[in-house]
Amino acid sequence: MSSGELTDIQRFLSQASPFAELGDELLAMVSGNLQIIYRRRGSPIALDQRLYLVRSGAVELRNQDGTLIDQIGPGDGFGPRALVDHNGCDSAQCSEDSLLYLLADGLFEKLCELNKPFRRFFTVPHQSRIRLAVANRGDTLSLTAKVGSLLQRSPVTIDSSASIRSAAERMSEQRLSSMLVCDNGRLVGMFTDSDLRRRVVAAGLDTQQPVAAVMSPTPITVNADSFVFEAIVTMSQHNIHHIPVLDNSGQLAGLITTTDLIRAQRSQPVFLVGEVFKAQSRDKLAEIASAVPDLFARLVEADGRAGDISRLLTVVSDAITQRLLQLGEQQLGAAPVAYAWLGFGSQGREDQNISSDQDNALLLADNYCDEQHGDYFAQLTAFVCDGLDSCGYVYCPGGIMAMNSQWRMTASDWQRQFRRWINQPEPKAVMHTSIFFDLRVVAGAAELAQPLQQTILHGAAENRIFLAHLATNCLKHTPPLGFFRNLVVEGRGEHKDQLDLKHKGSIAITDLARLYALANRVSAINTSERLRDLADTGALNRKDVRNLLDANEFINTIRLQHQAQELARGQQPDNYVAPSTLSSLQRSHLKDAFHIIKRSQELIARNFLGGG
Amino acid sequence: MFSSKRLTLWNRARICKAKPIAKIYRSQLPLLTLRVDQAPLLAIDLEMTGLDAHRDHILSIGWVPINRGAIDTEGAQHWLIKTDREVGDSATIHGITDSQRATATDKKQVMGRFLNACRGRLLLFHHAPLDLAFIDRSCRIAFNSGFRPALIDTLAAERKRLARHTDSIGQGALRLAACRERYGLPSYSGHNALADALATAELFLAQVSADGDSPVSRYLL
Repeated sequence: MSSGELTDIQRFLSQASPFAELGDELLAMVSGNLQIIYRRRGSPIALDQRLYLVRSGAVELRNQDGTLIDQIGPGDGFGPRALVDHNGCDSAQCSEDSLLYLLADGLFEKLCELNKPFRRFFTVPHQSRIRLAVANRGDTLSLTAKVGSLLQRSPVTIDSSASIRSAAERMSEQRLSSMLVCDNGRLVGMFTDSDLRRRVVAAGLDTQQPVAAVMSPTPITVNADSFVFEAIVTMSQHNIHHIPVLDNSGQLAGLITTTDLIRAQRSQPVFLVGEVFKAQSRDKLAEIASAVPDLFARLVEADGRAGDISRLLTVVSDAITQRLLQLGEQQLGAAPVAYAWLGFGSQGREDQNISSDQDNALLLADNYCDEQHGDYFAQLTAFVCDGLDSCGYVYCPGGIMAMNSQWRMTASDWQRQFRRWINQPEPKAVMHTSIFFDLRVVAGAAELAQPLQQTILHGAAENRIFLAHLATNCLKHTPPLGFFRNLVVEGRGEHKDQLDLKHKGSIAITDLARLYALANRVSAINTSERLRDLADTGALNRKDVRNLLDANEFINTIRLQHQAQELARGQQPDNYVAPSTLSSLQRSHLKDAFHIIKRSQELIARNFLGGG
Repeated sequence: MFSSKRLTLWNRARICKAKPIAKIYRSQLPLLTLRVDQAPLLAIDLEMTGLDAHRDHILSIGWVPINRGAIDTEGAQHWLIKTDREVGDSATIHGITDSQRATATDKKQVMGRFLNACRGRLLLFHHAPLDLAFIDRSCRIAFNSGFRPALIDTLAAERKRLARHTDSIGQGALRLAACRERYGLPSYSGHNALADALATAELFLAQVSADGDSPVSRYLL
């Protein structure tokens, strides 16, 4: 005897969230306790105390006053409000000929009792559901380890007034090759074996002198929250083997050495950046950069968080830019005037992905003189931009590159340029200039750009018209949630039936974070940091920020996974995903994420455009 | 028209000497005046070793009930039937191997359960004549009586409907999967008696969705 074997039904259920979580035994129970009905387009569906599941077709859900809440398709469930908090409705009607499954009386309650994920699906609202989805992914990626995690013992320190001799004694006692010099917990310098050799023994100095006289003052440091990866970059860049670690309050937290790093990070990306700074030619750099897609694929495969992967990719592209500038200066001679290499857009936001192009510019010190220095910088920037292109960061289609003379300006000219953008905004220009407001100094003299950053920070917040234009621009990219089956795919063109996750998803959140950051004088550039700072300053509700962060992480995770799959198939990675290639659970999380964006955009309209 | 069908069935019930079968006929009598969306039905499908009811055997049978316009999966059953013969080539079609047959049930026992399930229901097949020939044959052997209950054939209904709209019905247009596709029903795995019975039941719901208030007699074969 076998009353089971409703294999088609079980297979369908196992692909429909939340049933997918039930396991074979419960699935068999559900499949044997269903009623199946067929309703023609336009038929109302009588809601009793049971849960419905759409097997084929589509159903419109409405609330009490007849407003359309949702339109759902195969794999989606619905029921009366009294039964389910989420997906609850007051009336339902078929908008297509539909085959529907009805759970037998009491079965829904029983499943809720027996299975926690199932219960959570129906009782927890969108925002929390997507949070669970994001949080359930373990941070197993050693590459995203933070510097703080490498610190093993409390640092051995010595006062700056202590004698050189006592410092040397303690170093040999503790078998240390370096010692940190601290006054009241504040790092003031570092004293190493080589300092002892060069500045003390070789110079015949009295070892009763204070350490302060021979230490290296204000050493380069790294924050405990930085990626180990970033510490490696800093150390490679400055060719140092020890780096003190500070906590967020600026207090000394410890010291890490090259040995610590090699022990912790045997994986290739570490070497990749190490190699970048060792490369002696552009060709060598391009060869090293050709490993980036592979690195990306492995990061995605390891289920790294999307935000972390983008930051790591940015660390790589920053390093390549920095090395290209070093190589360029080696070839052309040192720069005649100080400059700052600016990264815009995704590089500025530390949000690069595998298909990012280059958006950069040069900011020159005001003593720059076109006749005298013009040629030099034209050559240097061409050297770097060409190099970036051959490393896979293709030329910017809009020409926003330091190699174009238009985008090489003195600090004062940049000031004027930004003031013009802010004070005389044109609706169209705002769209094209918004990426300039995601500005970060990638290499060179960072302090040169500070006055400009101040201008942006204060100028934008004071100009309501500029903000209104920016807000209008934010609302251009509405999330693809429509009446028909919720996820609206592209209707035509090359990407018919696919979702544009970049323009309809991530960019909407990026634009939103930029708008609120500029309006509230938040200096952060990275989207997540902007949102977090906005929550800290109270400009945005903390709950909304958490929801947006989760939505951003989820959309980008899907995006990166999609790109990794395309790379694996030898295709050019893009941002278009066909919903049919996603699991039912992913689809419902994606809908949740888009709901969150949609609500935030309504808030923008109210806050900046006076609409409702 | 429908009174004649009722009379025929009433006569069959009187003549039939096999009690379980006569009981089915009698239980069907009051159903013939119901609305089509209210009639209790049993959707059935068989898998056989071939097409000849005299030479070939039933390998498995699946059924699922329809009550007041809704399929009840709780009543779904699927049985593998013991045969002396080896399955041979048809195993590749039905996916039933000789070793699986070890778990099969004695045919008489299955037929008993089947006839019980039929009581109080109109029977529903896609292409009834073939399946019915095998059931009829089995009943003749087991009960010394033929089996001619009131039944609905989704294939015949579809042929009738298509004939109203088109001059010629294309080859394969009446196959179960093709019929389902016309109603936007999802594809199914097929070649399992229960899956096919369920697919037939769903097709029937779609067919009658346009005229649920017409009498069931309009659909009787």
